[in-house]
Amino acid sequence: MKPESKLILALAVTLLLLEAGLRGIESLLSADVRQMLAQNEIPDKVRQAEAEGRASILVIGNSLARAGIIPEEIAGSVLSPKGGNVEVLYITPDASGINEWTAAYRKGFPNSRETVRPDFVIIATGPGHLADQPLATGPERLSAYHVAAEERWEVLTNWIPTLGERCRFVLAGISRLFANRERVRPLLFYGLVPGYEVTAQRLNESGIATKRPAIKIHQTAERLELLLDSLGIPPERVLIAAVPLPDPYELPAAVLEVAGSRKVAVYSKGGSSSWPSGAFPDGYHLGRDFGTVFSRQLNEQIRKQMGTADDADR
Amino acid sequence: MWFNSFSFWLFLAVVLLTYHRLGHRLQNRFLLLASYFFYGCWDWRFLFLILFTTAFEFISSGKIAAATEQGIRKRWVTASLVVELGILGVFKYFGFFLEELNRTLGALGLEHWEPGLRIILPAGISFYTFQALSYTIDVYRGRTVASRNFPDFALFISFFPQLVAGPIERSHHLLRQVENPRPRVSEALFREGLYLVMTGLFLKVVIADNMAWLANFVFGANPAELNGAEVLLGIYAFSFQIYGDFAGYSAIAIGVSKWMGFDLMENFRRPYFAASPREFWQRWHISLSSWLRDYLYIPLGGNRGGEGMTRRNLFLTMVIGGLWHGAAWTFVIWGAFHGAWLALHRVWVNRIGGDNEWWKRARSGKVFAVVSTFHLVCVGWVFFRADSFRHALELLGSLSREWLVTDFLLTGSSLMLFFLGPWLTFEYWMERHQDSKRVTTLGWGNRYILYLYIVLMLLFFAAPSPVEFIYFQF
Repeated sequence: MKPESKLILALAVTLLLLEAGLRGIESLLSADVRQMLAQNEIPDKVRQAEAEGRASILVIGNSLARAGIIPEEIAGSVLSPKGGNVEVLYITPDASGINEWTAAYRKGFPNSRETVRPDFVIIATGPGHLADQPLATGPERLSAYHVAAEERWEVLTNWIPTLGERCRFVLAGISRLFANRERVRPLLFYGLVPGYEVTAQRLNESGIATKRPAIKIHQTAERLELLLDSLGIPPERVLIAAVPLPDPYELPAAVLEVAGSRKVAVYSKGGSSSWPSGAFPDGYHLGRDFGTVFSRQLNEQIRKQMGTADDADR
Repeated sequence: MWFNSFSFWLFLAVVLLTYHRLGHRLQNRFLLLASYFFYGCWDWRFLFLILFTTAFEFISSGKIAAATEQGIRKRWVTASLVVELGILGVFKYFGFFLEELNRTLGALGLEHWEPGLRIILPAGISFYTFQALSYTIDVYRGRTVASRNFPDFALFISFFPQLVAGPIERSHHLLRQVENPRPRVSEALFREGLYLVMTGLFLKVVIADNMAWLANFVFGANPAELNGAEVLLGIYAFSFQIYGDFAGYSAIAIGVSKWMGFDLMENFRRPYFAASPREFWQRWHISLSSWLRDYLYIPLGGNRGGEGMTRRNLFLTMVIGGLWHGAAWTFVIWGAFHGAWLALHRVWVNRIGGDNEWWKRARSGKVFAVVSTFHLVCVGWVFFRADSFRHALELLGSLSREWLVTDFLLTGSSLMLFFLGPWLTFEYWMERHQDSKRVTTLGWGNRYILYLYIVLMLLFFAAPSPVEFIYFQF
């Protein structure tokens, strides 16, 4: 074998070994990765709950949903057939939006085969998360963690616009090393480089302020249509909930239109109401106390939808 | 289609797979089409401009070659200079002159002139215009034979690896390679190409883009809010950003050309190890500095008119070289700074006797010369990168402000050590052996270690946000 062939082969073998090694320790990379890997267990948990005669509620969203929707507060909104604890489950990857949510739900609960479904689905959103928009977290995470194998081609050709992003999508589908490449830098530098966290934030913010164009949010909600059509449960068992943010907002007209056409209820009061600034300890996510308040509002709304309000009051 | 984009590597894969299945004539036609496709990806409208330049230079050089009277030859070479520099002037400098005109009109209390059109700078116009001009001038001087094959000549002008950011090739080097069958790509050529592509990507993606992250912050901030040490860090960062960016681009261009059997000229040779301004320009953007020497400095009189004229010619050449980079006073000042430095260095060399100064023979003297040359080059970069002359002066003034240890300073210096330390050690090793390709003579095991390091750095330590190649805008 020629030396150059040996060299390239040796590089390829080393990368394969690294790939295998990384897959072994993938969950140690970050809480975000653990969360995305845990999504794979959700269908089994729904199945188990059903087998035990317990109801299940699935919350779809991102960190806004995790902070704002407290499982104990909404669990009582749905009655379990046999009276056991309601299973509250979350598909809420960090910084995600409608593309990731649709792909992740369709992966866990594919339309192509008969499968269990959650009893109730809450889609928790901020102002722009449900309107059609570019991938919130890049093609790598979508490819590696959210998209089902049978949907890969459809997503590659119809969801991802540029050749460069398509290449990244394909590579991330093959290699977790590639998909998680941007996690290594902060993992190493946060610990070893003095002041890295503060400086990186400062530098990135100054770069964003001067260079990055604002994300264009389209006035359509086709991906939401796809998600609603994929849920596989009656519309009265679905709720679109606008999560409180420091500044009140309205959901885009396209989102309301799609929800109306699918007869899905929208609880917009969370977004359109003014909340005290103390409700957001980190300036963006609801704190536990106000999360409880918001969750109780949702509880009430869900009970109305499910017709369980009277049962519970009695 | 940037060299650091997936699109480019897909494009290159298709080109290489097709290219090596064709004979020489078809290879040239195919490469020409590929080059126009590559250029058209930026803005297809500018294909007409490059086609015009190509056709005009082909015709004028043919007329020069065919003419027996010196007057006719002179007319055609003059026409070529006027047309090409005119196009460059319109596309590159029109906005600049308009701005200056309006500033003057404003100062005189007169109304601004708005011509009602906005001119976009075509990618790589300065590079291919200089390449085309050098060909016509060489035909006029009788140093090269005029091409009789338009597609071959068009490929010489538009060869995609070096089309938009050089190296600026000469006809006696590249055109001859286009006209004659290239050697089959041997293992040795592939090895050299791989080495250049790997190191080029490392320089661009790892070094330049990470340094840009630091430099952009300092050059984008209000100088009054930075302390002296932070400004110095930003200047160092930009010095390595521009080096990594341009040397990386050149290395990739030369590397992928080797995979097609082409040999492009070396464009960078460890410039920050230069011990004088003269040596710096023998190592930095070699294809431009040698172009300026051959087509500007020597025609201006070179060193033939005595010391005073030599210094004047050096100064003028560098000022024009500065203006070549862009239509802004900061580039002119950058050129003037280098011109003045070269002229003063010449005075110094003459005073102490010869360029091989005695004090550089001592190790400490050599270190001092390299360090001081690097720092003076850095001063020049401040003018090159700053938004305005005033901004540059403010930044340089900030260096005298209090030096404090801040988070940015700690992080920035740690990152510079992490990214630049191994590379500078590697360059020092090449410098000691005076051999840019020494790695390719090592066994495959050693190269495996180097390439594995590069692959892992490319994978895990690319900058948080990729940056466009600086020289594409020239």
